[in-house]
This record gives sequence, C-alpha cells and structure tokens, in this order.
Amino acid sequence: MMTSAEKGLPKKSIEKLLISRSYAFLLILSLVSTFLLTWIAVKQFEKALLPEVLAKSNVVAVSVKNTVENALRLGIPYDALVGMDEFLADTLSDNPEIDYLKIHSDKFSDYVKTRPSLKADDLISQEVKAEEALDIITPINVSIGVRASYVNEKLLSMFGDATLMLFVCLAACMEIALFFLLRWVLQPFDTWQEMIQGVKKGGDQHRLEAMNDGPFSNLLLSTETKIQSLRQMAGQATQNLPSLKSWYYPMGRDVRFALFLFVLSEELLRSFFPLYVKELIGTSVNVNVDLLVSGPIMAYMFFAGVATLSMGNLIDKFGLKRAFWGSVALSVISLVGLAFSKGIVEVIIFRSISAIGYSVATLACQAYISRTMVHPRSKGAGMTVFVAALGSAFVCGAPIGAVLADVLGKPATLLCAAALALLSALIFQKMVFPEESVKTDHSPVKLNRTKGFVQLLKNWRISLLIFCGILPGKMLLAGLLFYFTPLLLQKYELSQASIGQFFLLYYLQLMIGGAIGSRFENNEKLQSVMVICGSIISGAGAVALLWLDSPFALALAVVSFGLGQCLVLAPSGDLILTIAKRDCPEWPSTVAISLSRGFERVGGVIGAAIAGTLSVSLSYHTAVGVLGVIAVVISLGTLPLFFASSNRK
Amino acid sequence: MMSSMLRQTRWALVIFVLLCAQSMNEAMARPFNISMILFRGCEDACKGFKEYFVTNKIPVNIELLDAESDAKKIPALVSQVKAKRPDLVVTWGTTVSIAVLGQIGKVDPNKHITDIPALFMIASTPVGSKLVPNLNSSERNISGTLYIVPPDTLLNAARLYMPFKRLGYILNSTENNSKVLEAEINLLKNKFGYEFIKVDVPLNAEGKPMKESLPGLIEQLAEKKVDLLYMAADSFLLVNRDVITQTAMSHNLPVLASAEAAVIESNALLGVVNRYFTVGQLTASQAEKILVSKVNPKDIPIVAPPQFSYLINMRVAKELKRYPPIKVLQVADVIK
Repeated sequence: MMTSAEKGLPKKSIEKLLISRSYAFLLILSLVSTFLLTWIAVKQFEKALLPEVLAKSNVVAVSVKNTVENALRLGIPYDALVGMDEFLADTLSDNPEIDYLKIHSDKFSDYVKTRPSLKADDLISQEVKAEEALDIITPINVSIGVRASYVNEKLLSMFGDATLMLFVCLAACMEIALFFLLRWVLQPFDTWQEMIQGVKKGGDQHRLEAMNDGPFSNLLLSTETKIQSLRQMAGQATQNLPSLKSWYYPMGRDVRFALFLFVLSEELLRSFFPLYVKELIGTSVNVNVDLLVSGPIMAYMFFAGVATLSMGNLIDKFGLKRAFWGSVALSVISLVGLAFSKGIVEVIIFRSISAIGYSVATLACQAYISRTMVHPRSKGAGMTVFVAALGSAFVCGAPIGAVLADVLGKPATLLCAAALALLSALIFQKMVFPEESVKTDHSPVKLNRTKGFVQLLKNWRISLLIFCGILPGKMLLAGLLFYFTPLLLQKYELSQASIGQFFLLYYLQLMIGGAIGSRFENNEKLQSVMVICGSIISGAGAVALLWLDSPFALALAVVSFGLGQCLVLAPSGDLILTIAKRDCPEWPSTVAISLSRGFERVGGVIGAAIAGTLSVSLSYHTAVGVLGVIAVVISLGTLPLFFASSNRK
Repeated sequence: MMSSMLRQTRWALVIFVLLCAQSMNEAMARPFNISMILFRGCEDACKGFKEYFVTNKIPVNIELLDAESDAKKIPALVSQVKAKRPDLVVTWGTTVSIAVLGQIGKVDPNKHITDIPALFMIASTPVGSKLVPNLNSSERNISGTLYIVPPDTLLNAARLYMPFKRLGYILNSTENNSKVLEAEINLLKNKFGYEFIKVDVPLNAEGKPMKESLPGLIEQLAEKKVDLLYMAADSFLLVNRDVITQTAMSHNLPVLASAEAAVIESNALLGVVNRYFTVGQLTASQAEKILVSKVNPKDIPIVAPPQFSYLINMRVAKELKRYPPIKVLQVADVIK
C-alpha cells in the first residue's frame, strides 16, 4: 500500500493533525466526564431537591389560596372573581415546576389552569385544604400538580449548558494553544530547517526574525551565530539587515489567530445585537421598532457585499499590512461608536462601516493565504486555514458574547470586541509577510465582470442554484438567525447565554456537517440532490413556528436550518464552479465565485427586510413561520436540477 | 520658651474647638422656625410634614397659617410671614403656592415671598402652573415636591382594572392644573385608544365655577355612555367630591381619581395616588436639606415619592358590581 508521500500527495499539515487529534481527545475526555458527572449529580440531586421543590410548590398553593380568600373576605362573590384565568396563568408561568392549578369550592364550578404539556403519569399532586375560616362564605381548596421530572429537566439543562460552554472554551483555548505552538515550535522549527538548507545550498544571506522568543530561540540564535561565523570565514558580509529576506517563509496558518480574533470581535455581537438596537431605539421614534431593528442588519449585509466585490484592488494597492490595519481601524471605530450610540441612524452608519472593515480584513487574510501558497510546504493547506479560523470564531463568538453581555452589559461587550479587533491587528503586524505580488497583467483583455455575471446568470442551472439554492439560505441566516432568534428568545425570557447557545447550535452543525460532508466523494447528481434537499430542509423547521410558539420550536427551526445549510453550502459552490467551467469556459472561476458571494449578501439583505416587514404586522413566531414558508417555496425551484444533473464526478 | 509657646497654642486651639462645638450645639439646639401657609387646615400632608421632624428629632417651631379655602386671605398671610421672617416657608396647594411665591416672570417682591427659602407641596403641576421652569431646579429660592401621579400611569392602572373606550373629564377653566391635565389626557387618547369626552363647568357672574352644575354635567357624561370619569385633583372638584362621586355612582359611572380624598373619603371607585402623608414627609426631608444641610433650594430638584398607592374603594366596587381583578387586588390598598 502506498503512503500519501509515495503517491506524491501533500502531507496532512502538522497543525491540522495536532488540532484534530487534540480536539478529538479532549472532546471525548470532557464529554465522558461531563456525562458521568451529570448522571451522578442528577441521581443525587433528584433525591435532595424533589422534596424542596414540593415544599416550594406547596407554599405557592398556600399563597394562591390566601389571595383568593382575601378577595372573598372583601365580599367579592366566588363566582364573580375577576381575572382568575390570567392570575392562574401567571402563577404557572412564574413556577415552571407546577403543571396544573385548581381552585375548587363545594358550591360553585372550579377555576382550573393546566399546561398544554401536562402528562398525568408525571404528576405529583398536592392539596391545600380549606381551613375553618368563619369569615368566608365560600370555603375553597387549592390543588396543584408538580411535574415529577422537573428536577431532572433543570439539572440536565444546566449540564447541557455546561457542556456547550465547555466546548466553546475548548475551541477558544485550542486556537490560543495553536497560536503559541506555531510561534514557539513550528515557526522556529521551520526557520531552523531553512537555515540548515540554506547553509547546505550556500545560497543568499537571510535575516533571523525577532519573533523567535520561545523555547527554541537559543537554538536559532546559536545556529545563526554559527552561520555568520561560517560566512565570515568565507569572507561574506554578516549583518542581520532588515532588507534581507527572512529565513522563515510565511505560511497560510500564520494568519489563523489574527483572523480568528478579528472575526471573533465581530461575532461577539451576534447574539445580542438586535436586542441592543431595540433597547437603543426604545419608544423614542414613531416608526415601528421591529422594522428599524432590521435596518442595521440590512445595511451590514449590503455594505459587506459591496465591499467584498469592490475592495479587492485596495489590498493590491496598499499592501496587506495597511489594508488590515485600515479594516481594523474601521472596525474599532464602528464598535466603539456602537457602544456609545444614541439612535438608530448612528447604529446604521457604524454597522455599515463595520461591514466594510470586516470584508476588507477577511479579503486581506485570504490574500495572505493565497500569496503564501506558492511555497511547497503550504501546499494542501490552502483555504482550510481560512475556513477553520472562521469556524472557530463563529462557534466561540456568539456564546462568549452572550455571556459577556450578561455579565458586563452590552456596551462593555462592544468595547471588548473593539479591543479584540485591535489585538488581531497587533498580531497581524508581528507576522512575517510574503512578498507583495508583482502586478502583471497576463490577460490581454481586462475582465468585464458585469458581462460575466450576466453570461453566467443566463445559464438556467447556475441561476437556479443561486436564486433557489443559495438565496433562501442567506435569507434565513439574516432573518431567522440574526434577527428573530435573539428577539424570540428574549420574548421567551431566556437568558442572554441561552441566546448564544442557539447560535452555537447552528455553527456547530455547520462545522460537523462540513467535516462529514467533505469525506464523501461527490458527483454532480449527488451534489444536486444535496442542494435540493438541503435548501428545502433549511426552511422546513421554521414553518413549524406557524403552529408552535416555544423555545423548542425555535431550536427545531435552527437545527433544521443548520442541517439544511450543511447539505447546501459546499455542493452548491462546487456545482456552480463545475457548471461555469463546463458551460461558460470563457469566464474564470473567480467571476462565478464573486457572483455567488454577491447574491449571498443580497439574500441577507432580503432576509432582514422580510423579517423586519413581517414583524410589523405578525407576532415573531408567526413571522418566522412565514419566512420559512417563503424559503421553502423558493427552494422548490431547485427541483429541475435533479433531472438535469449527470452522474459525472 | 519655645515649648511654653507651643503649649499655649495648643490650649488656645482646644478652647477654640470647644467654643465652636458649643456654638454649633446651640445652633443645633435652636429650633428652626417654619411657617406653613395652608388652604384647608392641617390635613394629612401637613401632618406628615410635622411627623417627619418628630421622628428625626429635628427641633422645629411650625406655625400654621390657614387661608380657610379663601384665596383672598392669602396676601394677609404673606405679610404676616414677611414680618416674622421664619427660616422656611411651606405652601400647600397650587393656589396658595402661586399666590405666595408667584409665577415665573410675574414675581413681585412686594407681593410675593422671595428672600426666605420656600417649599411648595400638593401643587398639582408645578411646571404647568409656572411655579418652576423645570423639575431639576426652580432657578430661584424655592423647591418642592410632586404629588400627582402622571396621567398615563393613572390610565395604565385603570386599564388593569377595567377596559374603557370613552373617558369623561370635567374641566374647571378657573384652575390652571385642570387645563394642563385636560391637554395631557387629550394627547394620550391615541396611545390608549379611547374617546375623550369633556364637559366644562359653567362660571357664575363672579367668574367662579358653579357647584350646582355638577350633577347635570355628570348626567351629560352618562348619556354620552362614558365608561370612566377621570377626576382631576383641582381644589373645586375635590371640595365637591361627594356630589361628583355620588352622582356618578347613581349613573353607574365609575370614577378614577388622582387625589386620595376622592377614594378614601368619598365614592370614587379607584385612584392611583401619592398619599398626602407620604408627600408631607418627603417635603419635610427637602426642608431638612435646606435647614440642616444648608443646601440652596434652587439646587434641590423637585421630586415625587418613589412609590404610589393603588386605591380601591371596595364599597363602591360592590355597589357598582365592578369587582377588581385578582391581580390588582394583590397590589392595591383596599378601602373597605
């Protein structure tokens, strides 16, 4: 059996190997220990807590009885008590362990309130009987039903939260660990290898970077001293001039931590941003608040799209460092500005600036990675570094942001995000940079992208993939996840941390789904089927909210969306490139990618606009349901792809 | 030589400190003189004001000057205060406060008290009545307290009790606060979605509101199918509260009051009020800042008590067969 090296395939990068092995090991270890701890704790707590819960519920029943008796003592007839349904509903809402409440008298009919989810076999009933109260004409008894599984539910939910946060911490810690691993081990090791190779070949003099401050710094310094003494013996100049090339040749992985921090700074806002905007607007304006909340999301998507398509030249013009510093400056200004904003206009302006900053920074990182890919050691790493850094930031951003917003408050979290963006620039600044690309115009005719877009859109399969496969997903991303999820969860009175966990749910699915999906050997037919199924599944879960109004229904919608997007994202991109290459070979793949990216942002703008408009006239959960229906109907348009695709690989 | 000088200086310092302490003690022991100019005798706010000083052991001499519901007597009381020059003047009610302290732009040092620190209480709308330009500072030698709960709070509380589509209001054009409140309630009709129905109290030849017109006005409101009557806290309506609330009850019309007397001592169904006693105590705490802490009155913001009371007259509720919802009962003060 041939090894990958023998086949001439690139070896798996060491950081990827380290990350995947460490992740797997730590995940298994932490999950097993968490579940074991959960199981033991649930059993122990069940014994200890259930009597306490029953005692507390009894106090509630006594309080209800006293309240009603006070009303009767004031002379209000039992059958004329006003607002009993609302009173009992509020009592149930304040006491989640109680599933039913009944007030009964011998002479009149009962006042009863039960939860829709009531299960008779899961109830522990308690009764507070009428006392000898001579001043009450109608003595009453109060019965309550406590859900026996309540304690288990609460404990499981707590440990579920702990597990998710554990995962988030693990992801963040792994990024930090990888950064130091790169800086202190892998980069010095590569530098040392280059030095040895350089001496062997007797090539040009190189410079030793000041970054070598880890445990191997002495090895590098002594090697450098040795090389210099050898050169001296050979009568060559031996100065470590800045104009000389570095011994270390930069690789795509070097940008990972800076990119992670920058994207994390943006993702910290995700879970609370609509709520923050809503609080800022308050009741000071006459326009519908929900509609206004969608404004900054739309502006962000729009400017991110425009910047992605138009700012690429800036990086060539100003260089990577300046472009990244510029984008960080924009982000910091916008985040600090957002923290001190007083009105919706300021928020829209700062979010637009933020979108431009975000797009330029990610483009700069992409450019860094692509420029380092010419080196033989970088082969095979490619854009996986980019995707991995983004994935980690997505997974960590929303939950960490939610917790920070809970603890420090939303404006302080925005300032933390600005600090992270600044830190990313400092790390970027310290990196070794590849040589700036020399501008060479190989193509005889300058590309007319607009013409290319029109040409590609004339291809019905590409159009279907973009309009019916990609667009509904991005509509749901902006509408369901960014807009409605925080608002709905706030309505359900869940904590900020829970909102972050819903985002984590989505991004985790994308990461896991992406990893599993990449293992399949795809052909066009299979990819088409994945796009069709995925785009329909993406919106199907949201439809359930037409009938259900609960956090579980929303979780279902988010899971369904995540699952759908796992199926759609990679195959749709591949299919567009494949079809473009086959049917429109005159246009390079970058035009197809730009077209797809542009419409992703258009989908975001449309999604936020639909969400804002629907929430004016509909309740949030119904609006999510309608958004789901719209997404599903649009995605049905992908069905013809099934019949048009071949089994070609 | 040097040490004896030091010793002498030390003794001089000790004597100086003791003298200062003695004079401060005397100043503390000397009771503060306060003149209260009242309109209807010493009622709950006045009692709350006095009680605060007793509880906090602050020595005060309080002189009560009652106008006996006659505004014409106020100038004589002002002259009396000017002659006596107390440490603080306290005025009760909008009419007395305007007559004693003057309105912004119309203050006359001969007619009004300007050089003695003053506090007003039970003034319905101090800004609307132009006693002060805003609630943060009077920008002159006065401060005060608020006692009226804002109309939107009152309407929100009423909505918890019962739905209403038509809100009735009796306008007394002789009282500024009645007109200010009318404008505020009229502005709120879109927010609360009610129809605002107003009737004006006719004036007699002397330009005073006619008490005998009140039953007819309420009958008019009842004929227009008003669901709830909003009773402002102006002096004329409060004096005639029994006529108003009794007539309203006879037409099965519930009354929402913004002054406690209409609920506690009369037949209004409900009210959201700051208790007069509490307002009196709060005014006394403002007085303490002026007298003891020597804060300039213009630096003391005009404040309201932190909590208001939701009053329900259960006797009226039973009579009208409009029982309070159980959730309202949990927070309300029920007058049996």
